[in-house]
Amino acid sequence: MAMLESRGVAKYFTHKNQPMRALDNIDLDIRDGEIVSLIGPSGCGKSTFLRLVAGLETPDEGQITFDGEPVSGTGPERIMIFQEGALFPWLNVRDNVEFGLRVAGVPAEERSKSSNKYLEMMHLADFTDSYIHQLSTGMKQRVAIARALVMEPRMLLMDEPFSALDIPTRDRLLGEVQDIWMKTGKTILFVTHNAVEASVMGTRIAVFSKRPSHIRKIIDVGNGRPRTSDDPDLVPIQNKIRSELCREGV
Amino acid sequence: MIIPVLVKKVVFYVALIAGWQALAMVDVWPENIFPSPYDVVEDLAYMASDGSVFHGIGTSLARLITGFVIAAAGGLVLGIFMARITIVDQTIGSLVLGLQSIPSVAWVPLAILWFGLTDAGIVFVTAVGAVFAVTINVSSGVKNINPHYVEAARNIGARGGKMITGVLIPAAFPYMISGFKQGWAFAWRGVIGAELLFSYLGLGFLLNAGRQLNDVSQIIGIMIIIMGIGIGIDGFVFKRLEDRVMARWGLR
Repeated sequence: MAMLESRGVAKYFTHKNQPMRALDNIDLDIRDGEIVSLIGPSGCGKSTFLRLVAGLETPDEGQITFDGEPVSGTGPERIMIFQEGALFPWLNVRDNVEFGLRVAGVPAEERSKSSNKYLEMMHLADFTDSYIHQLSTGMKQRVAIARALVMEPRMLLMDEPFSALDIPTRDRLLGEVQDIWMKTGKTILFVTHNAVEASVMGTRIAVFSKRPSHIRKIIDVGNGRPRTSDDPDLVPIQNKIRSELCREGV
Repeated sequence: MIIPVLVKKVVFYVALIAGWQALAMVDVWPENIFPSPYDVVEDLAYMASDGSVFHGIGTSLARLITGFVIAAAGGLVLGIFMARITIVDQTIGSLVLGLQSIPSVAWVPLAILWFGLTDAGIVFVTAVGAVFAVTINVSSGVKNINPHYVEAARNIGARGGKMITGVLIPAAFPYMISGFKQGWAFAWRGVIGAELLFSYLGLGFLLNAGRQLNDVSQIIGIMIIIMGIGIGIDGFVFKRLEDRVMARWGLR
């Protein structure tokens, strides 16, 4: 049994009072410890699929199961990392990272032990007292990742987390997330519209069709890590992704 | 040459007072109708020496603070409910908008019949004059929260009360401050208006007493105090609170 199974998942949106089929029959299995990149034309519903997995929305048809249990609502085993980070501007870096532990009633000592570990891992140790607006976009995403990791989730759901970053910062974070993966073995669902990011991150890459979307193709990349964005072995994979997207007429 | 703002202000007020004094000295109007600044200061000094002005300030501020705290707390709760529960917004929300359009002194007759000529009646007028402004601002503040804050918080386990105190209130706080500021301004108008009509202690009562005694300098003196307290609390309490919040959020 795969860790996450999506069977016949469909989702409608109302657009100008007309129901519009955004997701059409998504079948996908995610195995424990995989990184799966989800790529597709913009507006294809890949982020919607991520939100369904997170439990922020519910499918109109079909079912998503996690460890065999149907997903109903959000849970600390599946944590979403938003494109803009969605960090709390009224809290400093440490309090942002500890937020989930605080609401769970974890005692202060344990909280700081756990947050220190991940602040260290994300190279944030010198910024614990900073407020969010004082950080660069790259640092913000590091805080968002640390805030997710302290919850010890089994699956990280990353929604175009690096789309607002400059290339060197993005490349560094692509490396760091792979490091985290190698250290912790988290399962990662990584939504992107960028073929380079998809190929660097994904053990497999699921290419979405345009609306109403289904999964057009799954590309196996394999397990060699860490990979970098200038890895020449990834070029054929990136070309394959692009040709799949082109066939969609994008 | 750039003249500092403070210098401009000082020059303006000195000129204003000098002009007033000059106008009073040419005796266009009798002294009891148009007193000089000196007469006003003299009257204030007299009211200070017998303690009546301090008693008035204390009474009015106590009523103001009580009424404002009630309004702020009530507006906070009602505003959050309106923002988060559609049916509350559609029903009570429309009533709140209607009630907001009633000037606070229009509540005075009702307050007198319900509470008698008591402090409670004046506090009621003060609170009811401010509560709806706070409610409306809190509600629009909570409605305008970035939905990703709420989703991220829900995802990492915040529910119910912890969502409200941990996310909704701090996230809407910059809006709430302007609601409290507006509520405070309405409360201040409400308390003075109510005291005038109740004629039961406080600065509003001293205004009324001035009218009954034909004492224009007392009236002007008390009005200056009302203005000073209004400016003072707005400029010190709310401005500082606002600056601090804005700086932390990086909005300024």
